[in-house]
Amino acid sequence: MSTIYRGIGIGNISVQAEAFRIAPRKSLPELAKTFPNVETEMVRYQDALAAFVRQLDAKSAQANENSVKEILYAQSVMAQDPELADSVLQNIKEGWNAESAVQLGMQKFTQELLGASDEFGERIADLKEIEYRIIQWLLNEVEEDKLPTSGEIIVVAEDLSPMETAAFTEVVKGVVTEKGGPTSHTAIICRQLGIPAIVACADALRINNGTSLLVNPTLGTVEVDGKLNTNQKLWWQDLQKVNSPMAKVFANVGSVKDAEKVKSLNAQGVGLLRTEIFFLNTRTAPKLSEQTKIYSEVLAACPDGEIVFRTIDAGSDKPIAFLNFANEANPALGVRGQRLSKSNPEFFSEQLTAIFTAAKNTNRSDDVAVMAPMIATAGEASEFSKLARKIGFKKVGIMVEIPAVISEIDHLKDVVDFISVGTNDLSQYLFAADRQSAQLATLLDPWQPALLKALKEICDRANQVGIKVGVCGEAASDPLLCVFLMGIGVTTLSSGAGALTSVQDVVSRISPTAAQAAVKVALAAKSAQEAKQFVLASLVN
Amino acid sequence: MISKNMVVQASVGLHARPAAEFSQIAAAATCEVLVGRVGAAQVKANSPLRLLTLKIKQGEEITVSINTDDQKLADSLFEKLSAALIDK
Repeated sequence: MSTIYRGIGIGNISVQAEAFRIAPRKSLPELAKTFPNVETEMVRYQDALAAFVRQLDAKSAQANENSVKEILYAQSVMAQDPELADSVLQNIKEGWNAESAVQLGMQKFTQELLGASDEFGERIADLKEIEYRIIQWLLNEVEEDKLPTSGEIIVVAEDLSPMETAAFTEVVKGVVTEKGGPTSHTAIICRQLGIPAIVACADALRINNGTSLLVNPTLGTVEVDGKLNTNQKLWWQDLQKVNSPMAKVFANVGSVKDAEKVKSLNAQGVGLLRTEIFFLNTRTAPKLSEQTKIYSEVLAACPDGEIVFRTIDAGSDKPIAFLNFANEANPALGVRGQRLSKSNPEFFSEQLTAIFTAAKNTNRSDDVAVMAPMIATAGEASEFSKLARKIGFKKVGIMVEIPAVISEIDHLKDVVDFISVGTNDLSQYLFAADRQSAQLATLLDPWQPALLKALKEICDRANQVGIKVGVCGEAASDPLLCVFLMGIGVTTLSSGAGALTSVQDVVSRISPTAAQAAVKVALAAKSAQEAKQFVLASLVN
Repeated sequence: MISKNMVVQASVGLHARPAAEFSQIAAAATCEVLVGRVGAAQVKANSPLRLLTLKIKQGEEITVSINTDDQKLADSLFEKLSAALIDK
């Protein structure tokens, strides 16, 4: 049996190539007081810093992706920090050589970040990276990128710095890193470059240079000597097209630009139109006419088909200047979404009026629906529905993201026309796991058996009372998971623009028999990993 | 000294691109710019690393102080600085 390493998969396409190990970091020189000439030593430091900044700028000029450019820009600005420069000068004056002075200078900052468990703790790695690079320039030991210029490789590393990912060329077919998580730099950049990756892959560093690897991001596995069936690079490629797809493929939209993009990608509608982004820059509540204008603009850019507006989803962690927020210790559990309507009733009813008017002005009245986020009880749903219908809406729904509302779906007959499941928040509340936490990423995997069962229950209850179910969270951007969702009765899948083409392709090839078989095996799984494996095996032999 | 409170709206908080931009605007200003949580000690805003050590997350409110009596100058800086705190 071949060795299999497991981690978090990024992407859909399996790839096979030889491992290319990125050499581990050299250790930094020991601190040394050599009492150098202060001026000469400062010149050495300034030359090294300037060379590093030039290198960053050159990489940035080569990079095509804006996110890569942004990261390199931030690194360059941090490397040139005036306080760091002062501290380096001070250390040199005290007799330290430049290499030591940089390490001691950076320590001042990293020490203050030590112990922070959140994203600020993760930034220590960024500062260490800058320190390492400046010192390599001081020592004249700069390693230029040694990636091969031809052939195909899978890069294997402890983790990758932005500079390293920026140097990727088409020879890089896949990436495996021991560290990182679904939101780490490596994951974000691989997603944007379309390079399949396995991050947070324990024991990845046991893989030897030149080993033949099969990277399967759908399963999150790296298989030594695994063989790629050349006809099955995408697992759904060989499935037959069906006559009538089980679900419509909608898209999530948060701006006019998004709307234009998903229209060009043939989305059949918009399953989640986020409205909060239109208010982030204003200090005062927009006038009704201004709001109507904004919604009309975005509607004009939207694809044909149903357009579901979500009313403002703000909270004290993503505040809107003109709404009243209290300081909250736990914003995720606080006064957010629909709960804010109690303290800001005028804004909430005005927003609905503006959406309704915009729909009328753009001749989209029959297409436009509204839904409210953060609904916990049937009473709250009913209150929202009454208000929306009074304004004139024909199609009214709620988001299902708070577990408490699941059992209350039975009471929503004739109250709402549809529900839309936000799987990211539902996971966060179901597993008591902060969705921002990289350490809890495995609990937030949408394949977790408890989440799959919750989704099944939601659909069963909704189907019994004739309420349509859509999914607009991360789960609807995972083509394999979409098979399960269709099998339990979800009829609209609203994905992010990036995943739209894959989801459309999969939906066009899944029959009811296949989807129901997938549900059966998924519900028998005891782990997220098993669920993925079982479903994939049920579809592809 | 002219001060103004602002909310950090960028999803990453005050680091990475927002901190880099914020510090560059402060560094280019003709007068000193200080920043800190509302009611807390302030640091020089021209140091991106110092900004990072404040560990300010999305949704937190900060006080920005500009060492000048020129309200016009302050207002134009406030506008540029607050633009750095928003997701692009």
